[in-house]
Amino acid sequence: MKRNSCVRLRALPLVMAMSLAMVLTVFVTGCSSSSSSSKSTSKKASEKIELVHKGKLTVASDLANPPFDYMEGTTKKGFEVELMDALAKKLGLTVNYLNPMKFDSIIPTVKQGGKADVGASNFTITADRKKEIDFTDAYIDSNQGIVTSKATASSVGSDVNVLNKSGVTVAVQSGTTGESWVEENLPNAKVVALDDPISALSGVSTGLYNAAVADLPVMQYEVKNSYTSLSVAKEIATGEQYGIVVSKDNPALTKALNKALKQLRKDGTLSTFEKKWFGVDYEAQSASAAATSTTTNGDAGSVVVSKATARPNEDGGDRVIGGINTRLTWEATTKVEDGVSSVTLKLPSDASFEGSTTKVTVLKGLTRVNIDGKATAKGNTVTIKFASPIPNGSLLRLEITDMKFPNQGGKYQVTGSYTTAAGVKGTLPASAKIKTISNTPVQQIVMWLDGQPWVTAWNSVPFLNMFFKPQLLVTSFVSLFGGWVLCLLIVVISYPFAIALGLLFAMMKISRFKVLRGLASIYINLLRGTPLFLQIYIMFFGLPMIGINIDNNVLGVIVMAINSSAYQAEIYRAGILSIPNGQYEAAASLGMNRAQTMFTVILPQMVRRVIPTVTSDFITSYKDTSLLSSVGVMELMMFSKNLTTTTGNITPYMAAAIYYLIVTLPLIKVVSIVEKHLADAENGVGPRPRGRAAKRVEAAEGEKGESAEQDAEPKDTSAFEALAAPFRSHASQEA
Amino acid sequence: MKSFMKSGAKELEVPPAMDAEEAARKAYEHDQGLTKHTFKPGEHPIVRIEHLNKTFTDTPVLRDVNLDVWNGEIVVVLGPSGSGKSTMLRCINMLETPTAGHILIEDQEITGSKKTDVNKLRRDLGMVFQGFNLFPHMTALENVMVGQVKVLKKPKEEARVEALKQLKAVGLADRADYKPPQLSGGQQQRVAIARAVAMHPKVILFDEPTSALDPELVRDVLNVMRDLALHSGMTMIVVTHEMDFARDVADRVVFMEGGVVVEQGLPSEVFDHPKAQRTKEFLGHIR
Repeated sequence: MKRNSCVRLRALPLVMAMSLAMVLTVFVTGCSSSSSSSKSTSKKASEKIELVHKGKLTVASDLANPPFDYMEGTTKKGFEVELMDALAKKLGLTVNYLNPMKFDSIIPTVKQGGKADVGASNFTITADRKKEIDFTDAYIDSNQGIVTSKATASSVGSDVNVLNKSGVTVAVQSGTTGESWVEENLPNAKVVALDDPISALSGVSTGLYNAAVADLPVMQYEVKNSYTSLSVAKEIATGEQYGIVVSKDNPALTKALNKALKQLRKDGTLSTFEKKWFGVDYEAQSASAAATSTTTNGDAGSVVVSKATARPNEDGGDRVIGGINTRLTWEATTKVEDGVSSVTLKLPSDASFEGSTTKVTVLKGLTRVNIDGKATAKGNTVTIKFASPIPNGSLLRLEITDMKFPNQGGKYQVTGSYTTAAGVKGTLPASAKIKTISNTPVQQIVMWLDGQPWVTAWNSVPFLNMFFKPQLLVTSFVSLFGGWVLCLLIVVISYPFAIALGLLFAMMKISRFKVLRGLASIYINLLRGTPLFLQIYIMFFGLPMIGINIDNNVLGVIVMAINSSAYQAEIYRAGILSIPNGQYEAAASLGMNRAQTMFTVILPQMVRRVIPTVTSDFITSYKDTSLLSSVGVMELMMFSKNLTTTTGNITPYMAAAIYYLIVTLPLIKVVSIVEKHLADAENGVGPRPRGRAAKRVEAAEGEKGESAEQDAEPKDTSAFEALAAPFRSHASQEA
Repeated sequence: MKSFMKSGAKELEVPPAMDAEEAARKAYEHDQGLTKHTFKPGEHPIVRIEHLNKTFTDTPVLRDVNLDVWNGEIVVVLGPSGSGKSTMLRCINMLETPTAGHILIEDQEITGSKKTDVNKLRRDLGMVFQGFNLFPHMTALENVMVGQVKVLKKPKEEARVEALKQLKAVGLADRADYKPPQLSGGQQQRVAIARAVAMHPKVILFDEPTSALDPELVRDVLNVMRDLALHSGMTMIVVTHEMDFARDVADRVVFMEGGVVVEQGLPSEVFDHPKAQRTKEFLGHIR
């Protein structure tokens, strides 16, 4: 019997591995075959629009960005909702909104296909996102807005750097332009990335966060309608544009949507919607801004460089790493009456501009002027020629993707020159220094992986690419490490408190006093009867409201401890009640009082019985720390969510899964070992004590001999003495 | 929550405890000839049960039980199951709270005492349970030590020596480091006896100590008890079904049925010449 079970045990991992491999193979082949079939159809689909449901345009959205898209009761409302409806009508379709999804899951959903045709949720058109999916033409221009309490609004409005301090928390929506703006421009502040802009505003209104940065129209709408205690402190001219997300496999749909969009713009529908929802006709504004033309006077004028930053790399945390592609953002205000027709940016010779993907944003005030630019990269310089001259007094932003700083890192300045429309040349003043750090080993691994043929082959399978992209797996592991450590810290620190509180409430629950029992019942039932998620929200938004400001991580520990304590109180109570009455009676008959009975007889036995259940609860708590990501505690899920939102790839979640399993699998094993041990102990199976018992017999005999005839037999005495050595003084007194 | 922690059952109308001298004199006269115990002049009973009543939710289990036990006496309580023997025993050390009546240990009233006093009085009353009730997380040695250390506040080493002595007395010195689940039922019960004896109580109560044991293990336990009865000089009240043990060891046999003491006397008298009809039936039934 025993040998059998042993063989079975040894064979188990092998069987499991085999079955897992089989499942995976089926899955992968299944996926690749389906994807190849979808690819073959997509070739045909270049002329034909592919739809998930026939005659319906299925839209994925988070529906949490009023006035763009939101839920009022069960009806979907907003500018975008009406726009999608109008677009669908133009295509001869009816619109079908899916239930609200998390923002970070919309792009992967559209990309994978089968669930939604398009994604519409204030998606700013970015080069990164374009790698994963297609965008339609922009349907609206937008900016970002900083919202603070009314009291601090004016100081922030006059100088944003008030927020650029440690100890300041700024809430953003994870994976948005607002988030990267804060990371780039307020590096000293703590960024808290949340699921939607509304929770960011809630946090600011309760005092949990100092400011929130999100899409300006959303902010304006909310401040006017719901969060009246707040105000938009500053508008940040980002000149971003929103587009509709479409799968790359469905180019016909993108084309059709673009065509419909053009029609809506032309026939004034778009203007009507804008007036209805924002009270402003953005279309007319940008048209008038573009119309401001200049007359030539041949003056070179000047250009004031206001900013030059590079985007932190994914695995460098908030730092820019040399030797890998990043994005350079350069901003300047032109004071050239003739207008600027081209700009050449220059970096030190060891930096390089590789691609020519450059985004040009021209803003007059807060209004975007549509001017295209064509970039030509050459070594350490890049020249951007504009389709039409940049009007005088406008803010020019150039975002150059695919550029690299030197491997060794350092501080770099952007210099260069510009040409006016009249052909006059001017020199650009040097920008502020951009700090970069040297290339990391991780990045070298990624670059090595990039060059491996098997990696390319692996990534060509859509399933593997989406879930297990090797490069992303490597960077994810590094980026997630901090989050994992925080998860562990939170649960490890909170657990002793949870145990202590749990014991306290378990004792209260079995107390003789009605009041204590009642209090414990209320505590336990309230906590067990409500979701942890809700408790987190109440604590994080509620405590600052009543003037208690605690560090987010500490608050996380507190919430986890309190939540877990309720479950543990029940575990302990059940454990105590499972101890047979005879144990109490035996203790009582020895004359023990209640406390002695509890601490020497009942609790030690209870502890043994509850170890497996408590370990399971520990595993649950550890996993539940993921819920803290919803209020911006930078734990494991938070990091993976951010990475997934920026990359549109699921791999970071897989890395997170591995991080969770690293802890949970050994613990699960421990539970099963402990359970077996306990069962053995209860049945009297298991090793018998050896050696010591025999000595005790001798010792007992020695003791007897001693009392009979003092020191008669030295041999016996020595045996006794050997045993009693640590207690010699007592023993000799006794004798 | 646990039954032994409950208190305050409704009081019945019961005459107050008698004057101690008067009661002792009456008991002395009454018990003369009923027991092998050799009385000393002016001796007071060590355990005195007076008009003891116990009712479990309207079911009377003990009805006006009166019994005196003398210092050093071995009293064996017999009777069919449900006769109230165990309940009477459990009332003596307050594991059950009497509904009415008085129990005096060395003239000190135990019923209606404060909790702390009860704990103190219980030190003088050892108890051996039918189900052993050893502490499973402690070794045999620790089981025997724990009461001495926690309750009597003896130094650990002193308690260890005493515990080893008692384990040796019950023939289990070589099992000192075993945990209860690793011991047989008979061995566990012997450890339980050692645990009770190590506290040096004035009275030791045995609640059907062999009923949960396999027949072949009963003998060892009975031998230990017999040894204890003959050599320790400790007062013992034993509830059991072991007739031979009762006949050999008891100073007095008490026969109970229906919550009442039906008959008591010398073992030879009760076994060979039972007076009450129910005693006759019971003993006839057993044989």
